[in-house]
This record gives sequence, C-alpha cells and structure tokens, in this order.
Amino acid sequence: MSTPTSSDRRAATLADPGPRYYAMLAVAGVVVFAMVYSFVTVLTQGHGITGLHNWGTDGGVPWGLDIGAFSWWSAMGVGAIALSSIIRVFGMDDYRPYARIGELLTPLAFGVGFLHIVFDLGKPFRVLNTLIYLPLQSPIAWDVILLAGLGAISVVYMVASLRADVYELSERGALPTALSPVYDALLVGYEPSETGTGEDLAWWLGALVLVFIPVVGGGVVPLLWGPLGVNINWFGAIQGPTFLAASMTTGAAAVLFVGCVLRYAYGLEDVFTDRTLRRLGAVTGAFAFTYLLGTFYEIQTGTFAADMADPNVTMRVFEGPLAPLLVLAIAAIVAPTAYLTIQHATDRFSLLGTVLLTGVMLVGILHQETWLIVGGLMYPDLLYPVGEYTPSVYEWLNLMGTTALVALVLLVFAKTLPVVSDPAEVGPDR
Amino acid sequence: MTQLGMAIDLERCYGCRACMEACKVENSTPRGAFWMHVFRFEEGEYPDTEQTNMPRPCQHCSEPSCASACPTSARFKREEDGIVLTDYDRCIGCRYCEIGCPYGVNYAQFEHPEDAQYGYGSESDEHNGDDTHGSGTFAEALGDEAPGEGKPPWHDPIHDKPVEPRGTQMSGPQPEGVMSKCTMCAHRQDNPERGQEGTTACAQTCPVDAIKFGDMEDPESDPNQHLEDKSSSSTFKLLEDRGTEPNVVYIGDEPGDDARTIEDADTFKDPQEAIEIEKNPPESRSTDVEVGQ
Repeated sequence: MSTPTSSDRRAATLADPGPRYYAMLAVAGVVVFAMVYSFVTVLTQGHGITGLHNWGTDGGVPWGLDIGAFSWWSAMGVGAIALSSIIRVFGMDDYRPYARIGELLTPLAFGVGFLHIVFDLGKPFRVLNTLIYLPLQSPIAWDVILLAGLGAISVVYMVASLRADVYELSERGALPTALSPVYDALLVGYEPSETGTGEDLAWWLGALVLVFIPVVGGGVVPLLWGPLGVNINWFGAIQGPTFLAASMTTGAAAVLFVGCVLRYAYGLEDVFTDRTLRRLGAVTGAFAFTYLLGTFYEIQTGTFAADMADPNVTMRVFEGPLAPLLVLAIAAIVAPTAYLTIQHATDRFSLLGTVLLTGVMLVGILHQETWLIVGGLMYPDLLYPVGEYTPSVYEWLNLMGTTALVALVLLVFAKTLPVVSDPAEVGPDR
Repeated sequence: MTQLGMAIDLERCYGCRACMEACKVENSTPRGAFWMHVFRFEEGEYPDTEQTNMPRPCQHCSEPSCASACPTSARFKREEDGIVLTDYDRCIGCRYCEIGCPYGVNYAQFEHPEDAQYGYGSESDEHNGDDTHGSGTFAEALGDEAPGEGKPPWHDPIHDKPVEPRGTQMSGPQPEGVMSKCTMCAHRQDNPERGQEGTTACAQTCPVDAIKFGDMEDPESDPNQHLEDKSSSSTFKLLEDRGTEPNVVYIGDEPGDDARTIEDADTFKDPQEAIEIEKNPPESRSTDVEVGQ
C-alpha cells in the first residue's frame, strides 16, 4: 500500500459521502428541527412550560439546564481555542491536526452557547439590548464583552489557519465547485507565493488568544467583583481558575473526542496516531483533575452559590437530594480521568475506550456545571422553601439540538473544508 | 436627597396579610407573584414558642445588587426618590436581578399576563373570572365594560402611564418574559392628582398601622418618627451583611437561627396549584380529606 500524500490526507474527508454520512446528517437535522420546535413553543407559550420558576415564594429555581449548557459550551470554546493556540504557538507539529479541530469547534461552541442564552431569555429578541445599553458595572456585561471578543477572534483565527489548505485543495479541484464564492471570499488577498503568511497570522492570533484566555477564562469577572464585593457576593478567588480548568478539560476532551471520530470514520491512523491520542488523553485527565479540585474548593467554600443562598448551602448540598448528583458527576469525571491516565502510563491505546470515556467525561462536566448552578439556587436564605427543578422536555430538546447543530455543521465542514490539517510532517509511527 | 423606605413594626404586625392582598389589587400582580409577602414563623421549643410575622416588600436598597447584576440597566435606582424600578421596555428577562438579590422579591413573568391572572384557567364558564370580577364569565369581563381601553378589568390604566425618568412602563403587571417587583407604588408617588402621594397600598391597608412609609432621610417622616417613638425596641435590617444597604427597617427581634415557618411560603401560591384548586373548589375536595373518626 502506498503512503498517502499530505494532500491526500487533507482531502480524505472530502470524498463522496456514503449512506452513513447522509443518515447522520438526517438525524442531526431532525434533532435541530426539534430544537427549533422547542424554541418556538416556549416563545409562544412562555417559559411557564419549562422546569424554571422563580425562587422565593414560588419555590422554584430560575436558572437551569440552558444556563448549564451555556457554561459548558462556553468552556468548550475557550478550552478548544486555547489548546489550538498552544499547539500552534509552541510549534507542537505532531498535534496540528488537533489544533485544526479546535479551530473549527470554537466558533461553533460559542455560537450554540449563545443560542442557549437566547433560549433562556424571557424576551429573546431583546438580546441586543445587552449591547445597546451595556452597563459596565454588570458582571454579565463583561461576560458578553469578553466572550464576544474571543468569539470574534476565534472566527478570524479559524479563517487565517484555513486559508493555505483551502487554497491548495481549491487548486487541486478537491473542493465542491458549488461553493466557489465562499472559497473565493475566504481567499481574499491570499498570496500563494508568500508561503507561510496565513500561518504567521494564525501564529500571532494564537498568541493573542493565549494572552486573552486567562482574562476571559473566568478571570476578569472575579477580579473586578471579588475584591469590590459590590453585593453580588458570588465571586471568590477560586472561580477564575476553576472556570479555566473546566475550559481546558472540556476543550481538550471535545478535541480528543472529535479526533477519535475522524480517525475512525476516515481511517486516519497516521494523522490521529495512537501516541498523540494517548498523550492528549493524559493531558485531558490532568486538566480534569485540576477542575475537580477547583470544584471541590468551590463547593467547600460555598462560593458556587448565588448571593441569595443559605450560608450553610455546602452542607445542604452534601446532605440534600443533590448529593447523589454530586457523586454521579464526580464519578463521571474521575473514571475517565483514571482510564486516560492509566492508558498513557501503561502505553496502551483503545480507540473505542478513549472515545467512550471521553464522551462520559464531557457529559459529566455538563452535569456538574448544571447541578452547581441549580444547587446554588435551590437553597435560599430567609424563610423561603427549598426550590425544585426538573428540566422539561423543551430544555432537553434545546441541549440535544445544539449538540446536533454542532455535529451537523462539523459534518458539513467535513465535506467542504480541510478539517484535517497539515499532516505532512506527521510520520505514520509518531 | 430623598430615599423612600419603610419602618415595619413587627411588634404590631399580627400576620393578617392584608398588605399582601392590597398590593396584589393595587398592582394587579399575577398568580404566584407576591411583591409583598409576609413570613409567618415560630421560634423556641414547645410550650415556650413565639410566633412572629414579618412583611417583606422590596428593600429598595441604597446599593441594589439587582441593579449591579442587570446587563441592560433595566433595573435601576431612581435618583429622585431612591425607588428601585424595572424598565419593562428594556428588560430582556435574563433573571440576573433575581439571582443577585438576596431577598426573593423579584418575579419573572413566565406566562402570558392574561393566563397568569386570577380567574384564568378554570375550564367552566361558571368559575371563569369569579375571583376577580365577582360574577360572569371571563369573556364578558373582558368586554366593553372593562376599564382601561379594552384592557382586562384587573388592569388599572394608571400602570400604562410612562414612568419617569425614562418615560417607559415600570409599574403594574409586567409583560411576558420580563421582571418585576415592588415599586413602592411608584404610580402613587408620580401621580399626586390621585391624592395618594406619599402612601403605598400595603401601608394604607395595614389594620394595625405597622407599615410606616416615607423618606428615610427626613427625620420628620413617618418611619423615622415611629422609629423614634419606639427607640426602646430593637431594630434590624434584613441581611445587612450583604452590603446592599436596605431601606426597610424592622422594629422587633430579628428571626433567629431556629426560626421555622408556620406554613411553607409557597402554600397555595403555585399558579398551577391555584388553578387546580379553582377547578376543584374546596367543597368538592372536602370528600378527599380523610378525617380520623
């Protein structure tokens, strides 16, 4: 068997799709449609049909699965672009295919994270009010500024890193001609003679991201509101590092997951090698360990809970109905961490085991983020009843829909863009 | 500078909850929303127990955490009189104010305002609207005789008037997907021609005059005069350690750590539960109750 060329590998995903591809596309499409149905239903009937209610006399919980999903997707976006930037800026060439996955994943993650906010708003079409009025004393305003800034950078970064490969595949005629205007737009100002121009731009953007990440990754909000207090009382010193750890874990796990899927789907064993997948798995496990520690400190100090929370919220969480959820979340993160670490330590590799356990870890983090939010709002101070919350079918449809939307766009990307990056320097045995 | 606020005398309050009812009627708040709520709680061990009632309006804080959290400045503090208001036209319904406030005074409107009102939800015409309109069907009640330019009868047109300083709607029942809370009857303060300036519905209705409303910065105001009269009693502000600087002063003892509610705060307050009760009134429900005989 002849060794595939670099260009062959880049074009690997662009081959004519088989029935399985169309089946996946159809399933994703149906689920996205269900999400639209959910949005329209909640929009026309009101949030009363969701599991959300006011805390206090209503005995409800005002934020739920949509906000948990927003945190999860945002964390994934931050982590994926940070990982990609680290690979690019520090020249870790073996991992460049993973950098490309991170680049493609980041704008999608930020996009669907934003969708969850829109779904959650009582007045979704007023979302732009946040930009029009934007009071700078509001923590959420800074979330908007910083995440929107990072989202914008992530799109430019993705385009900058794609241009050289798009040009090459375009010249080769491997890209669908129907989308020529899109490729022409992507290649505006691109000079093939200036080899490395796009790469240089991507390097600088990656460096910018690495400067930006510690600020965005939960940094500036606790920095500003922790010391000042301003009676939100929600921000402690542990929030920023924990969000950053959650981001790196979620981002690395998502990249690892997609890498495994691409390898399986297109037989890219020489691109997503055993060795790189195993090492990325170990790094994901290390991030997960840090995330667990941060979460533990957050729970221990009660800083995960909102200002309204009972001072003894930590004990209530440990002893209350949320305790099993806490144990479940920890198990769903610890077990994959142990598996990925042991896999690396024993120099073994299982694609199925890695993809399954990474999936479990991703679900575990989503679960953890959601119950932390809900748990922090369930136990109010004063003499109010304990809040109750069970996600409604509409909130589940939203979550499944955004996941399907990301899968759908990735499937489209696979047939329209070079999702496999620069494997030229990647030897089959590395 | 004026800072409207209240002194609430827990030594007088006997928990009749007329203030809650008055607030609902005055502001047409929907089911489940209690801009004024009365905690009824008990402390001590039997037989040495003591019951206390504590009305809880919005505290109209000098450092309102809800306003700090709001991403659109829809929640803001009116400089003119220190009332904390919600701009219904600007609110996006993110509920950050509800999360940022420790007092539980914020209510998101999760339903269509009409659906959330009393009298809605009963399937039979017989009961439709009974509890708001006295008799007749809900449809009839929405007819020509309804006040407020075709608005339902529970809606006082005064709340449609723009509220300064922004000239937008900020009082009365809020639209769907928007936040609201106690406004210290801003419509009364802003429309002196109605002759109710300087009053709130809860304070005016209280049968034992336990709620004193006025300018907390004015030593001659009702609340400050009452505080002076009762200078021998202890006073407290709710959750003062949160740094919100509330403008409601309570006269009496602060609830202790062992304070427990006599009834759940949410008793009969869940909108769906209320609808069920309306469909299945107490007479017919009485057969469900097994009395140990």
